[in-house]
Amino acid sequence: MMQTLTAKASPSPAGILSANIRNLVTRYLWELLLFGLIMVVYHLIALRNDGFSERMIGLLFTDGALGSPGTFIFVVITAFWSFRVWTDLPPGERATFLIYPVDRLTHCIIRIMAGALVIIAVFSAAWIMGALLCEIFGPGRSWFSNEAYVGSGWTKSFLGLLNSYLFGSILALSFKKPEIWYVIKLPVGLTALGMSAELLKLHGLRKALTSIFLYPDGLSASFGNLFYTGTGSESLSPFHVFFIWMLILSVGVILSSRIRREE
Amino acid sequence: MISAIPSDLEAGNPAIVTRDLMKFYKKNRALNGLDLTVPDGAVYLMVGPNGSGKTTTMKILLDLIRPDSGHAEVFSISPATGGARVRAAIGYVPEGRIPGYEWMQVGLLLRHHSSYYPSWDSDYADSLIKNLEIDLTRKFRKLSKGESRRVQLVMALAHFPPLLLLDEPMDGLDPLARDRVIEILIDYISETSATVLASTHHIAELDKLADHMGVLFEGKLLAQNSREEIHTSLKKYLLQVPEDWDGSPDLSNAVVHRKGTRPETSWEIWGDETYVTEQLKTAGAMVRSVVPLRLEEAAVAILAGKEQE
Repeated sequence: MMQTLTAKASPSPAGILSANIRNLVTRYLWELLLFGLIMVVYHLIALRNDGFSERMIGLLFTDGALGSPGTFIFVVITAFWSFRVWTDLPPGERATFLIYPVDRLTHCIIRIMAGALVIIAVFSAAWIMGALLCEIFGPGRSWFSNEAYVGSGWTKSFLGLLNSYLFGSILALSFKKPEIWYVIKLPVGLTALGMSAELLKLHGLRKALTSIFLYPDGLSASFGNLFYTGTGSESLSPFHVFFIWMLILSVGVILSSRIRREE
Repeated sequence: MISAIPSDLEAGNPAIVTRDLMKFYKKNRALNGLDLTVPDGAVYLMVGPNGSGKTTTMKILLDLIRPDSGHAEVFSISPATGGARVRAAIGYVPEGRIPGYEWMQVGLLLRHHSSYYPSWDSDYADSLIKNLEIDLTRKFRKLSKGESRRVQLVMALAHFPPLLLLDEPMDGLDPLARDRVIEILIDYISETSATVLASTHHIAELDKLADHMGVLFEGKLLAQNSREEIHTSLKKYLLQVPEDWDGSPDLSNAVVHRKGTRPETSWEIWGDETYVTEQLKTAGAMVRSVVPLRLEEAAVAILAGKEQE
């Protein structure tokens, strides 16, 4: 039955985070499964082409195949996912999201964190699935028997993907029309084209497409490379470069979360 | 001389106060110096034609939008600086639908919504769901206007907010559902002493609940007062007057609206009945009857009078 009115307690950030994770997983379950499937298929194709060699297994699971044109697709998927997190809630149509009793900035950041955790979980699960498939299809040359570990390549790849996700989030929080997110995300499109060109062995085209905007190792590496060149600080390691870009993009996310529109 | 119908309201402990609130949407003026006062525990009906600023006012109180000038307070907290605390104290039924969450099944939507309110009472929510015959398995976007209104009402009430903002709460409801919603609101208000600010075009539907009313026109309050004061002081005078009769100069500010053709005419006038009657007789009119106005009639008279100007 009814209770008397009491001081209203604030919701816990953990509760809001789990509510948003549940919200995203329920909404985009099939897309997330597709993303995971793409990663697993990517592993299998790479392994099959290379005859399940130890070199390729090592490259995939310890170095994240960084620099391999196939990994561009994960940059595209991550950027696309950052848009999906906000597709239902573009700026100016977030009244239902913003009427909750949470500070606007905190709420936006919690949703971005929820999206990041979801995509990391999907990629991690797919990566583990790939490892298991190696175990099954590559007898004697398995991932486990090679005492493989998550190497620095993957650390960089995940940071690179996180940067791509943060960049996409800034666009989604700043521009009202989802179409603009995709148009401005042209560099990602070019990356995808570059990847396609590489897959089709059109090296000249890939070089032409990627050299205008992108470092051939993908968008994240391109960011890193730009920063690297911009500062002239050649003593920075690629990991530091990615990390610095992550900090810059995080500030961008905070600033874009603070943009107010008529809701 | 009698003063005009008042547009400011004295309240010792107001739940909502706005002062000189101005809001433009590009070149369109939505609010034009709004001075709203909703006493604590009141059920305040905000009445006005489309575009008079009712929804804009509610959005400012929720800090969904910011005014261009002026200020607002909810329980002495400014929504601009304490938006989260203000929203925690509000149960809101929006005018439209709820973009962003319409893909959800109703059950999932309520579960998601409850995560944001530690005071959410599942038993009370369940009783409302049962009472309002809500199907939890249907997708929100598939619901009719009336069905979505019922779900929004559960979302607004089940965390026991001390303030309800209801934007056209009866819109789309069938007569049976309307009665149920009124009963639910009466129970809620009587057991929690919550304050209610409701906007509506259909005053009669919320007439049972209301104890205060404000009439908005072009972003400004034409009048706001308690039901009792309106009932006591705003009356319809049925008059028989000479052909060239032009009214009493002492009542020029107090006449809210006039209609009819001479010699029979009816005027809605604000003020003490005895004094008004005396002034009318002195000016040469014969007062045939004096009838107090219901809230809806009062609102219509005030708005019609504004259009007559």
